[in-house]
Amino acid sequence: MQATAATAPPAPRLSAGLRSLTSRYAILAWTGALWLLVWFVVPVVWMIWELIGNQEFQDTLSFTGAERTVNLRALRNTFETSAITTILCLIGGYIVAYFLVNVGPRTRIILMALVLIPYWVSIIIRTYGLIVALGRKGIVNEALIDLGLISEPLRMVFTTNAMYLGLVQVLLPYVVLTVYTSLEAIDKNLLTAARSLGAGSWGVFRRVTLPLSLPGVYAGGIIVFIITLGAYVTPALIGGPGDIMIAQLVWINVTEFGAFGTAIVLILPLIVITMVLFVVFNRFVGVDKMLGAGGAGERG
Amino acid sequence: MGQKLLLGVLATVILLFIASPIFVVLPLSFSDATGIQFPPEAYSLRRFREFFGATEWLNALWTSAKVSFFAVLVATPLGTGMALGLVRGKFPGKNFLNSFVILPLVFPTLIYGLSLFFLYRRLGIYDTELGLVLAYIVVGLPFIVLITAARFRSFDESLEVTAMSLGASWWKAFFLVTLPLTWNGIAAGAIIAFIIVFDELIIALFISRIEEVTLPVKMFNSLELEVDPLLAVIASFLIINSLILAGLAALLTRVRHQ
Repeated sequence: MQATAATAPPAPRLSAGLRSLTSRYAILAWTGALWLLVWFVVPVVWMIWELIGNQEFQDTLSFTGAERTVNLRALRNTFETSAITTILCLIGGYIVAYFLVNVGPRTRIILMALVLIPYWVSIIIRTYGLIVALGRKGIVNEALIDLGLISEPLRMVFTTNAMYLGLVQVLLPYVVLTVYTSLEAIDKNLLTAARSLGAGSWGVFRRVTLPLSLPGVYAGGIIVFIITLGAYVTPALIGGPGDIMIAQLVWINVTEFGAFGTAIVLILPLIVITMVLFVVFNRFVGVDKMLGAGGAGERG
Repeated sequence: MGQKLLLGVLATVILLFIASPIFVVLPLSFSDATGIQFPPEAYSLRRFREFFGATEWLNALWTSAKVSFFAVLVATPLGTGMALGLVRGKFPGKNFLNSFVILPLVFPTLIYGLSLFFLYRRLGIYDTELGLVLAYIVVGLPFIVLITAARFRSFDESLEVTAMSLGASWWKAFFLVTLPLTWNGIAAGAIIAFIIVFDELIIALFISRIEEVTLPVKMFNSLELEVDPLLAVIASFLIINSLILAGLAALLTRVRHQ
């Protein structure tokens, strides 16, 4: 929005606009932006342009048979997975964040470390840990056998449930961080006031705490949803055969079949939805909440 | 009271679940067995010895280190300048840039990686270190901008103005006053960007498959095909590495509160 305003302001203001544009700070800011334009925006736009003009794309649009079913299933699967993962992360993340706000400072530091340590460890490593834990000789199977609940090891690794465990494990810290930031900012006097006016602890939570923490909930929810939409590592490594999502299908189409037309059909909805959510996020939540506490961000 | 106890138990279970991979991977790297078994039956440093003899893994480690280092080297001045401009400047398009710089953070890396795959083949830098560095500058930049911008926001601009009113040029004031007082934020930003870029997988899968294999790509391939027992060693090494760096970044951002 502002960009178009910058390129075409009314004539009298043009000179003033140009002067501030050429100011030192504007140059510094636009240099970084120019870099992103050349090495981020241009490649993506150019790819979309190339692929849409491709004859293969036109053919893909008129698909009726099996390919169409596969593509549609992957799209539906992706949205379903993203929605479920988001809900699971919001519930789990909220519980943890709420607990963190209500414990003493020492316990909080230890528990915060348990949130942040995995946050800074690579996704592949965390998924690897899960594969090992859920494997045939993994700790979960061994424990179940020792308890006498099962006699043969269960097959847990390449299943839909394992994929959800993996996604939640990786993405939950985002919700903890954003919700924690919101909860911590709530004026404690409001809670005391609500209590003195006769609200029970559930009433205080439902009518004061929860509504005031919603910005953090939205922020965390949108981040988790967007990341899951493009998730590749977790579903590919521990998901079941029926859990093919957009990212995997794009990957297979490109690397195994060279089917770029199909790839673009799958990519376009992903781009559009990500951009819409990003704009919504910017408008209602603000970019500064993007990283939450981020471990090393604003809160230090 | 019962409610609070239930909440505490639930939260602890969830937290232990999130952190569990680390508690699994670390002991596994000291396992004496040849296959993967957790918990291990016997412990030894055998796998660590094997790791230092495994040239393929060491090469991947070296590629990742080099590529991440050079990407951060370029992204740090670029991002610091951008953060300074966005915090101090008043110019048309500033709000737009504030959001624009975050976009690479949320944009699906798969799509970005695919677009670089096309571009790099056209430019002739497919499967090269240069290609990886160029991509990782974009990946690291938002983190550096966010973290250094936070530092500049809490920096008292009047110090710089005073220096200039005493006759220092803008550059002199920046390098002699602003930079020495804000270097901790810039260093924290660079460290965080390094961690992120070092762990990046998806883009690397698209643009470096044969010649220049990064460590995450090698790990992913190993997990997808057959689990190499050495993976636990390299994973432990990376966990410790990430934690030291993240701890350092956290310490650096704390300096200013004293």
